[in-house]
Amino acid sequence: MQIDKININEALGYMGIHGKPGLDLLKEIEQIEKELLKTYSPHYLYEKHGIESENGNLRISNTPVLLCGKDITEHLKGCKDIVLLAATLSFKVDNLIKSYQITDMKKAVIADALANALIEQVCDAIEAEIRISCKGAAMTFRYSPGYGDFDISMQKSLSMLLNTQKRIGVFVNDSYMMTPSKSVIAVIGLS
Amino acid sequence: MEFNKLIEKNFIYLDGAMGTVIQKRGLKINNVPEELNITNSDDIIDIHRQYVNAGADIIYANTFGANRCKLQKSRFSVQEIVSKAIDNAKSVCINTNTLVALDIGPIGQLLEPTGYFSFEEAYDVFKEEIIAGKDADVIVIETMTDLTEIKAAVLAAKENSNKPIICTMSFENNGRTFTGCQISSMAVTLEGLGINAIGINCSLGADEMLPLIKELATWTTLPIVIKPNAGLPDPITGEYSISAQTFADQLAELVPYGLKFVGGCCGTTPEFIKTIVSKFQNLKSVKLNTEIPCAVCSPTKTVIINRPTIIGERLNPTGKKALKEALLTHNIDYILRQAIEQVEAGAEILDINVGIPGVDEKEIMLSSLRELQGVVDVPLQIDSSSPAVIEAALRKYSGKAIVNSVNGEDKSLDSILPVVKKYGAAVVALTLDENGIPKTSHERLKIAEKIIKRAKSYGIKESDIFVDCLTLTVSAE
Repeated sequence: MQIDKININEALGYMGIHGKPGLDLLKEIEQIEKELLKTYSPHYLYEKHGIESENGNLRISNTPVLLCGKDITEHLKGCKDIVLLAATLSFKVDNLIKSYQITDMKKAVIADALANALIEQVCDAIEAEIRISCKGAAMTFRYSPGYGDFDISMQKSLSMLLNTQKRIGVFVNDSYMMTPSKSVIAVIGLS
Repeated sequence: MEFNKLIEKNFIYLDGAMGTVIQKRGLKINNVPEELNITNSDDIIDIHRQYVNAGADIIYANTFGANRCKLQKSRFSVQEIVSKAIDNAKSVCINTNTLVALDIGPIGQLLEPTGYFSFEEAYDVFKEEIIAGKDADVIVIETMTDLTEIKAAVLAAKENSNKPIICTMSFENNGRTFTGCQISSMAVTLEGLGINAIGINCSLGADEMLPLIKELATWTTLPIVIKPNAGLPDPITGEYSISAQTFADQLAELVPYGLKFVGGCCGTTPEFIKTIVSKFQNLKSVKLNTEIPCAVCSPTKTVIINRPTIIGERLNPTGKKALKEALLTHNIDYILRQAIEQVEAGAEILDINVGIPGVDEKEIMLSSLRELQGVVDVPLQIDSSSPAVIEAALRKYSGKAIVNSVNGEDKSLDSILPVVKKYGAAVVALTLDENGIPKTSHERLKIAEKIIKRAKSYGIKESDIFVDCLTLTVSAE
């Protein structure tokens, strides 16, 4: 995975900046972008699973995990299989942001926004890889716990199913927050 | 057979995977595979037996996740599962020389400072497992990725049992764990805590582990342990496809690097162990006489001390009004800012001293250490005149620290040196004693000799003693 540039427009959106930023701000953003790209260490995994209908919800075949909620069920309509994806930028990005929080809060806000854009780009790259492995299948967009009525608590059950702790060092705590914080767990439908 | 006798063998064979074999047997694992010790003990005993028959000298009891956090939803307690697991394993070892290991894996919670689980809680979790596993012959702490967590486990083992301790961590190809812990940091820290064997398990296949083992061999004199996976699993199916023979052949490449304990992790089976034993019959283990450099470390950075090294000392309240103010108001952010600035200016190690009247020195030291280690990479030097503060700090510190300081007074020697030894730290030795700073270099030398002799009597290496001759300012006297 080779990412040379972060989607700055997306990051500006996260910062709540609409329209063109001033030159000074842009320079600062580019500086932090460089630092972030030097620092991040992407880890990811993905797995294909079957799904079957169960009382209006979807059971991930041969697992104790039930995907509940009308939005996820709607999203996976017509899919017989799913790919579960987990990815992270690693704790090094959290440490960088923490370090900025102590020395320069503005940099921390910029770094946080850039990191949010970066993890999405990492997921896009993983999806491209999945597309090749699942040749021919149509893929839905990635759907994470917290979207619609797909409960955030699913973050924990999916993380356990994928064993993200051991395989990519991603933990989900009892408040369903992930550490490292720039991490994603998502469901992609295949048909 | 006693562990001390066992390690005289050419190679010591460990077992292979438990999970893989359980799956192959078609046993349904719910979220807690360790429950099978009780619900399907015959199956577990049979798996152990297969490994003993394949030639394993040490088998790992099925206790990897048997800690109170992972057993929260189980109807069985840690005591019930661990004691039954050890029983199962021991039943197979009667009339053999095979030993049973209590297998301790990660708790499954993220420790401070990245997470919220404290060192003390981690220690308690491990202590419970160790006490429940009192009938095991050996303690194995494996698949760890966090240096703080493995330290808590090692201390729990050392303080609640007197069994031999084998430690292995899981690394990625780049030689670091997911939390950034380096091989050198693992070796430097754990050897200092007094474990019996050290190595790597899981995550990688044997061929990927080669460069890592090569590196480990330059950082430790302990026997080396390896338990690789059966190669890398297929990303979609999760299946392992390497053959037992290829696995054994790959392992054989590692013999020149001090390999002593050999086994397999995920994807391996009794056949793998049998093949390894057969391959290794004709090989000779190598004892490396590595000259390990003097070094101190944090989990992510090791500083070798073989040239003048810069220690930032601005985190010392003497003469610093702003720092004193920050300590009195518990302004940890100020301390962190000072630390970051010093590191950015080139400090390779940071001294931390928070001792002023009117503060709870121990509490601020521990809070500062915890936050500092989350924000700077560099190893730390614990600076205090209170042995209690030094001990508390060394206990919590993740890595190998320097203690500032010990001096020639017996009171200092007897309160500081045992703690330095216990936690595997290095120590600054001041050439002063109860009579103050001597006037001549000759007298300073005598004090230095006294300190070094006493330190060595505690088992502290000479290379871990940094003598400070106390150079005074020219016009001070």
